[in-house]
Amino acid sequence: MIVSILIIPILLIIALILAIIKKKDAFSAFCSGSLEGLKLCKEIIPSVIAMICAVVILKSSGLIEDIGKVIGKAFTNSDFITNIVPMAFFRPISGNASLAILNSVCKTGPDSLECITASLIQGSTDTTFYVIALYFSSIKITKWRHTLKAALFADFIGIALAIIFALVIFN
Amino acid sequence: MGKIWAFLIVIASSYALIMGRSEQLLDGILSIPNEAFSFLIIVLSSTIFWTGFMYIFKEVGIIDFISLAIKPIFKLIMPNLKDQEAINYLAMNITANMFGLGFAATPSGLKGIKRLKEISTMPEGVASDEMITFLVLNTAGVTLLPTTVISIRKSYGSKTPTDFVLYAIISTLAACVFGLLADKLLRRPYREKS
Repeated sequence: MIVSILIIPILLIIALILAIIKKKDAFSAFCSGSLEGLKLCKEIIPSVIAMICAVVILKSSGLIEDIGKVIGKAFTNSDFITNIVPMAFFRPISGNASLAILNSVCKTGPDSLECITASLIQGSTDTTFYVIALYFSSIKITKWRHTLKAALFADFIGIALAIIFALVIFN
Repeated sequence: MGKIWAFLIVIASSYALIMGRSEQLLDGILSIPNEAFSFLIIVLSSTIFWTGFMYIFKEVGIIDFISLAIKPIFKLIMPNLKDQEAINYLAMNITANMFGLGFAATPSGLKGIKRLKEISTMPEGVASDEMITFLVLNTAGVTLLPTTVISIRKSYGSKTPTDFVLYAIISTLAACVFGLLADKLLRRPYREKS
């Protein structure tokens, strides 16, 4: 627990001490980085809004809830299943979609088991389909061979471990 | 993604109408701008802040240093890759990703994979072993600090918004290792199908 509290302040101190020693301007580095962040935001905002649109409609239609109820009959903790299944499903497909789901899960209880699990899933892997498509299309590769299988297996391990950690350590 | 998106919305909306939940559906649709606004405030300000924060690391040379330090790992997982230029780009890409600097990572990643194509012995349009290993490593997404998630939890009043970070790092490292193992096990010499 202590590690998780100290990690951010320590990183900040190390970076700034190095900046002072090496006589680098940390302030203007921060500002130019922020500007890059702002440019990045400009690119992702439209797709983030589109994803929120899909998640909100999916939620208000009650579809996920009903599917969760059906699955939940087989398991005891149906709330958990309802929230985590969409998260695990969308994580490899779209980072923005899974982030939008995480947002709706964490809204009601930022320290709940569901929110912690969703956070772990989000942090455990990256958007597989998008990254592979981006890189391969940039060099016109059409035969992916076993790329997708290996990458999805990695996602599966990451997500499974995330759920196990959540249930064992935070439950 | 475009197809999945449209498909999801059509299915969910029709389901709501069939089940007689038209009011909830309309309510949901009309609340989208509001939801989007409050969500974007968190995502935007956290992205802007954290890229600024991480840029200090770049400026003082920590990222270059780590990218130098992980090069031996590339020798281990891609023993056949001798090209120094490609290794430099790939190491830079993975390191920038570790620090959540996606925008700084993508250009070096694209240059790296382009270089891999130049030295690839595969037929045109076929992925080489190195390309696959690199993408598995990249999509396993080793991130040291999931900053956006931390910001979202903090904004909803979490008392311990960083408590999951350590376990997220372990999960992502495990995903990475198992992904590389799967890559090794699934690898077969490529044969052109006639």
